[in-house]
Amino acid sequence: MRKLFLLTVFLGLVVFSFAVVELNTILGPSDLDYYIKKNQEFYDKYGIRVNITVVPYGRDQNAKLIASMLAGGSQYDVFVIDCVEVPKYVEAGWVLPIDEWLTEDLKKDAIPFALDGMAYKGKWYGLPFISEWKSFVYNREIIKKVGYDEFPKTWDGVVELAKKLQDAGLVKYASAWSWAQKESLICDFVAILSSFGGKFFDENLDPVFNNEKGVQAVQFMIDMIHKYKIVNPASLGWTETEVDKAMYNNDIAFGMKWGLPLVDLDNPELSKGVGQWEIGLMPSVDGEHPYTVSGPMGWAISYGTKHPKEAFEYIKFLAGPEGALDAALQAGLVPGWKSVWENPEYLKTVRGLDMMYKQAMYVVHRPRVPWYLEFSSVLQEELHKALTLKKSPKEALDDAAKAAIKLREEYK
Amino acid sequence: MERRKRTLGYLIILPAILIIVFVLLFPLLYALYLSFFKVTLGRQIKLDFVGIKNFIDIFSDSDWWKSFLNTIYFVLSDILVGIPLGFISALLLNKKIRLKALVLSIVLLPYILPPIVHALIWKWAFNSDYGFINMTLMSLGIIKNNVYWLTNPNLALPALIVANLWQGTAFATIVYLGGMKSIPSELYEASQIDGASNWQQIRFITIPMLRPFTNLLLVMKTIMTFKIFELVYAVTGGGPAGTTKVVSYSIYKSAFEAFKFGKASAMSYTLLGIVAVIVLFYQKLFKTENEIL
Amino acid sequence: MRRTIWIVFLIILVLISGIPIYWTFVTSISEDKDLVETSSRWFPPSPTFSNYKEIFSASKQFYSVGYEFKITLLNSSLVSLTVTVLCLTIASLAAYSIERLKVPLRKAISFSVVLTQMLPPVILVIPIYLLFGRLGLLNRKLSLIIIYTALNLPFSIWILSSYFRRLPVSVEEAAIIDGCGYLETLWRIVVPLSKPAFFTAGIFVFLAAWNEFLISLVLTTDLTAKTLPVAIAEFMGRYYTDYPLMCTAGIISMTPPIIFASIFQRYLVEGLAQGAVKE
Repeated sequence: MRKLFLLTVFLGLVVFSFAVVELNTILGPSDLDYYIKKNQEFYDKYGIRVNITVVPYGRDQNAKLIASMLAGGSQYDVFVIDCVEVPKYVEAGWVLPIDEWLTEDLKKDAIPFALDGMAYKGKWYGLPFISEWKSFVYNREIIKKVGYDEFPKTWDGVVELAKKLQDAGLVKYASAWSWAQKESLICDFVAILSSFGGKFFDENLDPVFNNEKGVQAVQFMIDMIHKYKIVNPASLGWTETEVDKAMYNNDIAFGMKWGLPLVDLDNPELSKGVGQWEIGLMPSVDGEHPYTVSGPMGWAISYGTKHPKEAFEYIKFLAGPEGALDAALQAGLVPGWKSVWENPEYLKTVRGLDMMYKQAMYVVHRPRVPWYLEFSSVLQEELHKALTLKKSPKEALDDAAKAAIKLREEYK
Repeated sequence: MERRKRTLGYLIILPAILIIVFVLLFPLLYALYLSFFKVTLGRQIKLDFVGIKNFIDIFSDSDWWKSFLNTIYFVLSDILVGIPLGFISALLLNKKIRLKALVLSIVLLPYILPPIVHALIWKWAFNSDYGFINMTLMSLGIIKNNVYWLTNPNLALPALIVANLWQGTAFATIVYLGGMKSIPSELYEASQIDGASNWQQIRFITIPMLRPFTNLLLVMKTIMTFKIFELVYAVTGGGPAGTTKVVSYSIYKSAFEAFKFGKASAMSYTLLGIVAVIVLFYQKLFKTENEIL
Repeated sequence: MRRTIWIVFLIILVLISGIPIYWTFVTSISEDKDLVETSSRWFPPSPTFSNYKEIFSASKQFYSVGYEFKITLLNSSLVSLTVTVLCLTIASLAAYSIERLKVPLRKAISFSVVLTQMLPPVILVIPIYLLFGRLGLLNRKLSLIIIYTALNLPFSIWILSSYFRRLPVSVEEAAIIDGCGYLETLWRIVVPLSKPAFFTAGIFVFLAAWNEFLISLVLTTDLTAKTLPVAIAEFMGRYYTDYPLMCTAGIISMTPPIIFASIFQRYLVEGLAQGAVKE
């Protein structure tokens, strides 16, 4: 993938063109060639220039955004927001609601979780873009060798399969997860918790993840490492990078992966198992709760923009159903619109999209509260204490629940 | 004469003072000011005066003290192991050797590696399945099963400490090497005539003469290592089970994840206070006519 | 016998310092899918310099990561060198003022060392952003130069003054009696005698400026001022880290400081011991 960059020009142009609308945005470094092309198309169509400031990912964009928001919020008109940041940015008053432009057609076309991820307290703050979730993937060829044609639907079945694989010496550990004491652990936990029928909070934001379902989920995670020994214990230090590596290396037979997993797994430059991996539905305790975790993003508009209307025009151009189809076809960005997922041209691009779309109906968010990141880091540590057998699952979850209540009160 | 000297003195120190005051006075005072407020970020920064609550919260937060203790381990290892190692390296390098420039450059390399790359390369090295450390130990027959360096709660902190020492020791080497050059060679010549052995020369000339540099290193190492961040952030995220979390990571999280800039400022100033006390303690401990502070 | 032991230790020292760097290098010339084999064989099965090529052949036409890397490499070199020169110049004046001209600010400087080195950039960066934004100085190399100079001055003054203090005053006094001015004495006598201190402070300041990340990230927006650590961080993907590319970036970004250090490292091994002040 060639990444292209566009330089932002601050001063020069402004002098000549203060009548002309210009938008500024901030982006991570990947797929820039695509954005640059789209910006040119946008300019040709509407006569509005869009300048891109390139930043590294995640935390780094945050630091820049916070600084610019405190200085008036006009430095960047539009930006990509991660679902877990929506409540925080909304509470701070940094993003504009887009309800007035969000037509019924758009609302109907959005995959529910993708649009929900951009909503907070009854209003919408972003147009779904890169609406990812974590897919469950397995190596068809490896499980075939122990006589499986389909991947088991229940966790019991998974354990049984995993043991067979390991007994046959096909893999040292059947699976690996991103359970380092980082955000990636919470992502996996959300999926596993939901697959046990559990959830985080009730309607009053009272914690319920420490009920028996939560305990079961954590106990199962512990058992996979320590009792069944079907998960590489190194998982406790791994993030997605290492898990992906293990998949590419065919060292594990199943696991979870973000984005469009088969693009990378079918890429011979990365993967040894080209053509062998398949998308499955997430297994669950009873085969009825095949839930996974969401990680949708969206294009949002800064409160400080001088051109909100043009800003929405731009994000619709990029992230509306048409833009999303384009982004999916040309840059492989996961669309959050049903119409794209049902588009035959899109379904042809990569193997396994039909299965992914089935999974898309079973996607759970991480808690949508402004204190999420703080809660997340407490929960990461508590889960880790349980996973390293320093605390019982119940104790760990109870302690995390106490912390959650404390944070909730603090933010009232 | 004396007055002209003094005037010139003030004149030439002025640029330094001006630039420091211009850049840092506002941020330093602002951060101090914030530490007495509950800060709510929004379109404007909203401040609610809370007195010393932020500080009380920190002092009563067992998590913070746990991070503090972990940080202390890094600092102690740097002082007790890193500085002596740097001294030994400097001794080794302070002789006439062939390829001196090359050897010196190699010894300096760890210090020069960018922090983020440093962190990632050690993360990979310690990877239990794919890293070269386990693979090498295995092929040498030293271990039979993979050692889980970064996920065993007892091994993760020592592993990070090794990675940190590897990078930090070169700085001590340079300082000592420079210091050794400030010792007049007459001292060694004279002692040689008196029949002093190499070891005696090190013990009675080199070490005492390097005292100011040791003192300088103590202070610098304490300050720099108390700030350790990248390694923890990129390699373990504070895990497993919180055994490697450090203070600067908590500060970072409070500021940029929780948006609690008041609390983060209070943490920073608390840390600063503690380090200032430690530095004063060094001063008392190593009071020499060549005192550095 | 003793020489043998000494050489053995020296070799161990070189190995310990060098092996992880060697790893960074072999990783940089591995293909991503071969990394595991590289780990077991200590060398990539099919070494490739494609990452290096990608970075060095990048042209402006595409604004690629490689191009960004090249430009930020230049920015960083310019900023770091200027900061080093500025810092050492201003600091030597200040140190001389404290040590020889009896300006009673020694304590203040020590205190500001603790203050400036101890407060994390996380805390300082927002106020600095607001300050420089108000002055219209965002996204300028000049701003970074000023900020880094301020941050590193106290330490530079400190290390230089601790060295100046050890120099025998007799030579300087003689020079002054001979009619040399104070500044001339500083320039002609004190500075040449303090080369190791200048080297130590210089490399510290250079690397501090070279590696600084957060302030540069928040204050710069494009290639007019963006520095290398920010460009390196852009090599990290959202979920997947391309190790070979990161390591290539690491190796390349080590080159300028290494060149800088090699040019000046003889200063580290020159000094009083050369007998400059024998009489």
